[in-house]
Amino acid sequence: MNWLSMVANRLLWVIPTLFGLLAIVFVLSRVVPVDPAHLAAGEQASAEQVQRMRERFGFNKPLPVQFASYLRDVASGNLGTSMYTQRPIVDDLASRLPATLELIFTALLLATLIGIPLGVLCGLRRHSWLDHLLRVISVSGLAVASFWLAMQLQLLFSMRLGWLPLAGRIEGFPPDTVTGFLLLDALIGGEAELFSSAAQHLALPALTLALPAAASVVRFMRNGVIGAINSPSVTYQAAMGFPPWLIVWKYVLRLALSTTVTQLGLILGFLLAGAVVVETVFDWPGLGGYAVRSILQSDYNAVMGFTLCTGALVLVINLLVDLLQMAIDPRGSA
Amino acid sequence: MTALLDIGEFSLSFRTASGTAPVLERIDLAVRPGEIVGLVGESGCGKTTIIRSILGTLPERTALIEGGHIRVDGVDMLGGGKAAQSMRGRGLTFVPQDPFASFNPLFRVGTQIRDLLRWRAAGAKNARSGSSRQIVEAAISAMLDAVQLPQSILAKYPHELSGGQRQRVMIAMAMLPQPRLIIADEPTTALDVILQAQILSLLRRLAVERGVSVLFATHDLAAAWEICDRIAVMYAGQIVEIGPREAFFDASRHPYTRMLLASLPEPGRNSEVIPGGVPNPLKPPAGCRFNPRCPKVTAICSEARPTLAAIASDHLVACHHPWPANAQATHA
Amino acid sequence: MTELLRRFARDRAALFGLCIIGPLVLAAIFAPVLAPYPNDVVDFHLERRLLPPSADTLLGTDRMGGDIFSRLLFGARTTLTLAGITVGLALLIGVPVGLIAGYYENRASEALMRVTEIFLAVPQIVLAIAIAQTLGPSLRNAILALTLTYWPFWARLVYAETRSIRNEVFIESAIALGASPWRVVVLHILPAIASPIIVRTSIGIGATILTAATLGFLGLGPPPTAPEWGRMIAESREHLPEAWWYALAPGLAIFLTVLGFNLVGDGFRDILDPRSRRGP
Ligand SMILES: Nc1ncnc2c1ncn2[C@@H]1O[C@H](COP(=O)(O)OP(=O)(O)O)[C@@H](O)[C@H]1O
Ligand SMILES: [Mg+2]
Repeated sequence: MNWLSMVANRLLWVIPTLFGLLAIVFVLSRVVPVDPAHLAAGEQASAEQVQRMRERFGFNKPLPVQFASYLRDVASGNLGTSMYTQRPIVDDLASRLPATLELIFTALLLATLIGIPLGVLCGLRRHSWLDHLLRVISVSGLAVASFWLAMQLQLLFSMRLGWLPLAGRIEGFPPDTVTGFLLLDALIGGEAELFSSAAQHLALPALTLALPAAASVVRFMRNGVIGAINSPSVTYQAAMGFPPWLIVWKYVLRLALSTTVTQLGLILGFLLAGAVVVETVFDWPGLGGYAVRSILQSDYNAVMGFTLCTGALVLVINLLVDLLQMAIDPRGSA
Repeated sequence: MTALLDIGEFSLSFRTASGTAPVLERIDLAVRPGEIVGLVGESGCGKTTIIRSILGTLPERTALIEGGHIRVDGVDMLGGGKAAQSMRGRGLTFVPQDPFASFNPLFRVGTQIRDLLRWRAAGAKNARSGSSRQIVEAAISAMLDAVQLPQSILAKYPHELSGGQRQRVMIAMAMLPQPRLIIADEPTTALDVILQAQILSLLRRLAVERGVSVLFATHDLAAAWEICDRIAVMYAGQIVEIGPREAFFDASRHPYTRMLLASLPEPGRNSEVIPGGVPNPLKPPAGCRFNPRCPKVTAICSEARPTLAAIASDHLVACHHPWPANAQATHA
Repeated sequence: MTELLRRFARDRAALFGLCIIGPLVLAAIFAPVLAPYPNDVVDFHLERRLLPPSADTLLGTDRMGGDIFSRLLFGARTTLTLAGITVGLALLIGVPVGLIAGYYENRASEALMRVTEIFLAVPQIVLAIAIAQTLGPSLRNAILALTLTYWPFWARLVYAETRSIRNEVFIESAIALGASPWRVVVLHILPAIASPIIVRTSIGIGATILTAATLGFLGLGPPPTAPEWGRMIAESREHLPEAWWYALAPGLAIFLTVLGFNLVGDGFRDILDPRSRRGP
């Protein structure tokens, strides 16, 4: 399968998948015991006010009709209004997506920067004390509840030592928006102080998110290196006298990376899920925190919008990962 | 004439979960310059283990060298010294059993060939400089012609090549460094019969043309007979007989060799199955390891291991009761 | 079988995992007996709120004056019940779906797998939060929410494993000999793919415990009368940095429990999965 037909096949499935996702969440949100109109109108609302709300949001129509009109709105780029922020959901999502992406990509960068060299080292020095130590650490890293780790880091670095801010994304006004990534925007604007503030705010959430991800990168890389070293192609090269450094840093490394890249989608999904919790604890103004708050406040339009947005994000990420994998492994995905 | 490959009194065991397996016992084997020697034996008798010992690719943690020596062109291959390392890929090259798994699937064939030459080939010390890069490319191109492959395979990935093409590339890679000795471990078992014959005759032709010695391991007596000058027969980790190709088939002396020959299918004769089974590698029989299956067995066979002794010029047998030279008819 | 057990026993990490899970299960069963203050699950003791660890209250007390150690023991009950039932139910849904979709190669099975992919297209935690919130916080609803979000994992695993052996000779020959699909699936395919299922079950319990704790942390788990580790950690937030011990014990409890199941899963993988058994 060449990459074009792969992309085409994937894109063909994007619409049905997102449709199915919306249908699931829609049904979920409308068979609720809580009356959303009640919530929207507020605690002290009279029956008449509630009724007006019901009509305004269309809650009085049959479910399929509601869903159809929702889909029509979505198709025209209108995700409705958040009952909580009173702003168009598209705007809410657009302002929060860069924050989440900045967090996730920073965490991914940290995880690979930490995980790949350590994983290679463990694979090469199998059964050494370093290997054993890192095995313990990486198994542990995958067992820690991220919200608890986040709180412990806050306790130590913010409350006790006072080195890093407790929560939030930046001190003062953010730099002019170019990319939406504060670190990059501050760099572009040449604002050193804002850059340092943004970096300090990013440090703890990104670290919390990166640790378990780094743990799994270490495991994948280690196993990849061990598998590659024991592969017949490496035995052949050793027998043919290829210098060890060439075998390891060119041939083994690429084999190990190719197996790790197949797991990249998994790791990114893992980071996205982790972001939901980490953003809540650190008050990070991203999609995850938005989703949790919307769900807890029964702000269903916002939940639907978030679902659509993350669903699309996951599909795009998976597609990119598959393309990357095809670029690394000429055999293509079978 | 001194031997190019010289294996003497070489013994090796593997540590396994259920004990130590003495897999090779006092192997004596020599390959002279320009000679093609077949190493023949049933699968599991230790051919690959001998080859891995020469190439230095034994599993470090489990292989236990009990004694003896292996030299290539006078260089000790067991100590893992610098001289041994620089012998591999220059004076000594290798054709593997599985030509598919032996390529790295992620790099083009050309990359893998060039890396071999750039870092290994004799006299190519400054192969990275412009003019010698051209020499390398010319050598590769000439070698592809010699193994009858199109130049276009250099830009392909291993999975895009057929099994026969892959093994031709492997032979090209073994020839390119202009070695003195090539070791081939069952180079054709992964191929179908017609391809087998083609690849074997290619290997023999190139070796003869260039005066390269070959140690050719196979379980297939007929294949060995096709291309070898001399043949060594192994049984369960012991060399039982070494002789020139002609003398070998007409006048083999070891009971195991005779039975092996009789087991070959041949028109007008039923092939005979050797009774009994291959011994347990953890507890091989004492003395001659073939003794439980041997028709001529006596008490001494399980007491003392027969030494490999010359029985005719250039013909060695390790047996207490070898068949007489003209006994071919009595057995069949 | 004994050989498998022996190999498992040689794996020190897996044994360590068992040494965590074993006592934990016992602690959960005997919580009413072991807990120094079994009534602290419901009682308030405002006179001793937020006390640091002491001989009296080993792990300190919480904001209601409850003994954290006692609540921790009862929390083990909640956690193990929740994770055990959830994983069991998710297996009951996911394994048949994966088997059927893997056995038949037609449009229907394709569609079935697409449905699982829809479920996998958003972070599981978000679906779980949404469902739990919709149904209202209770132990039963948390189990339902987690089951509904986790069955696709097993469906996909079983589907992939079934597909990979679907065309093996022993399956084909069973079909050729006239065995019914039902028989082939139950007698031939299921035993052949049991190892990866067992491995993932152990690791899946660990993952479920983490997600369940997250639900509790967000206030969507069982109500306060059933002590839950995630909720205990959430309660402690308002009392940081003074009450440092408050979140420490429940956090470590989650960590050790998940670690235990993961280690045992790893141990199973090493002895059951031939692909990972490479060389010395
Ligand atoms: N790494 C190893 N560990 C333990 N035993 C081995 C190992 N490699 C080979 N053996 C054993 O050594 C014997 C010889 O194997 P091998 O050299 O591969 O035979 P051949 O190449 O003639 O088929 C066999 O009994 C095999 O089981
Ligand atoms: Mg072999």
